[in-house]
Amino acid sequence: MRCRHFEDDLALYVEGDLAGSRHRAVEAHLAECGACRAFVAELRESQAVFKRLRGEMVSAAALGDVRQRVLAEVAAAQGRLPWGRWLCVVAGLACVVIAVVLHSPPRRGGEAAPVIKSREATETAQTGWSVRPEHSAELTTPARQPAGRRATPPLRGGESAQPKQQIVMKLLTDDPDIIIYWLIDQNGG
Amino acid sequence: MEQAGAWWMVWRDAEAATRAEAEIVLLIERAVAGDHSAFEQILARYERRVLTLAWRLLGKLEDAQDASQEVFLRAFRFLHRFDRRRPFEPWLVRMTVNVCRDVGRKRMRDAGVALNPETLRSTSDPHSEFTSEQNRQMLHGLLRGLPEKERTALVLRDLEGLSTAEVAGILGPSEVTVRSQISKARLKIRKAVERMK
Repeated sequence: MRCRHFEDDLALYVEGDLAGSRHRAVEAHLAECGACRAFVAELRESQAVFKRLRGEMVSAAALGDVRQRVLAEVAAAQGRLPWGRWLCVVAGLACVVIAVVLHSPPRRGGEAAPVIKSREATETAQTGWSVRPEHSAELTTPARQPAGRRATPPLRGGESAQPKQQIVMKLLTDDPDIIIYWLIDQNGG
Repeated sequence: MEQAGAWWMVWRDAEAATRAEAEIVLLIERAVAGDHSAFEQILARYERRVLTLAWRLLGKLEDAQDASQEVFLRAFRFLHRFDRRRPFEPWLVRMTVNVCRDVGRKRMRDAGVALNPETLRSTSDPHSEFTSEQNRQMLHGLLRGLPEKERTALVLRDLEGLSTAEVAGILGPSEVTVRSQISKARLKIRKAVERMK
């Protein structure tokens, strides 16, 4: 009768999968146990039978079939790739446009922003000042205000229901310490 | 003198392995950059290994072909993620094992029954003379009858010739667990072969 508690080790021993002290213990046991030696012989035989599967080779036709299928799929995937990239680009651009629209400051009355480029050019040429138009909302921002000045209160009486457009002109002189703010209402005053 | 010859052969094999790894890294870089022919070369280099392993794990050539196709398509998709400092073959073998596991489970669900060694024994005549085809069928049946983890560990160790440490590295569990799986599988194979006598 063989020693059952050695079976697992014997199954590893036959293929050299035991190392160190366990390997030595199995060898010592085998030296004095005939039943385990017979068991090892059976294991070696069954392993030899099982390993016949190593000799099995897949046919060239089977390999060629797989290769053809893979390459066809890869070619199709590469053909599809540019569309995927274009879709990514278009989606990215759409996101940028949406983000810009959502974060841009609202305009009053839906009117176009004032353009005073020609005036700026003229004044810069004549006086050496540059003129920058600013939105009226910025007038109330303290950081933009020169010290000691207060925001101009809104006009009363005689105003139409529609809010008047106001433009703040910031005149920059050659002297960085001198900045002139100029408030212009709808009447050009 | 003999020992010097043996050392020379070991050194030559190591040198060849290093060169082969360097070549495959170059091929991978080219394939990732969109070079179709480089991927074709990778495919040609590993197709036999992958298909044979899949065949051993799944037992049916048609299933193995489907699995191999999936393995190479996954490799193509994820080649850019492969860490080029590591050897390529274990990466591919791991992928093959994973795909075969999926295919095997799906086939089992479709079939509705799990194969086991009893099925094989009832269909084989133990008194008939074994032809090589019968032997082959018997062995494949034995493999299919093993639990999935034991089968995979045994195939990688005894048929693919990997060490238990390499098998553990590919399959994930500890080397002790892998040894236990291999040991159990060998004992089952022995039992089945003894009954077939």
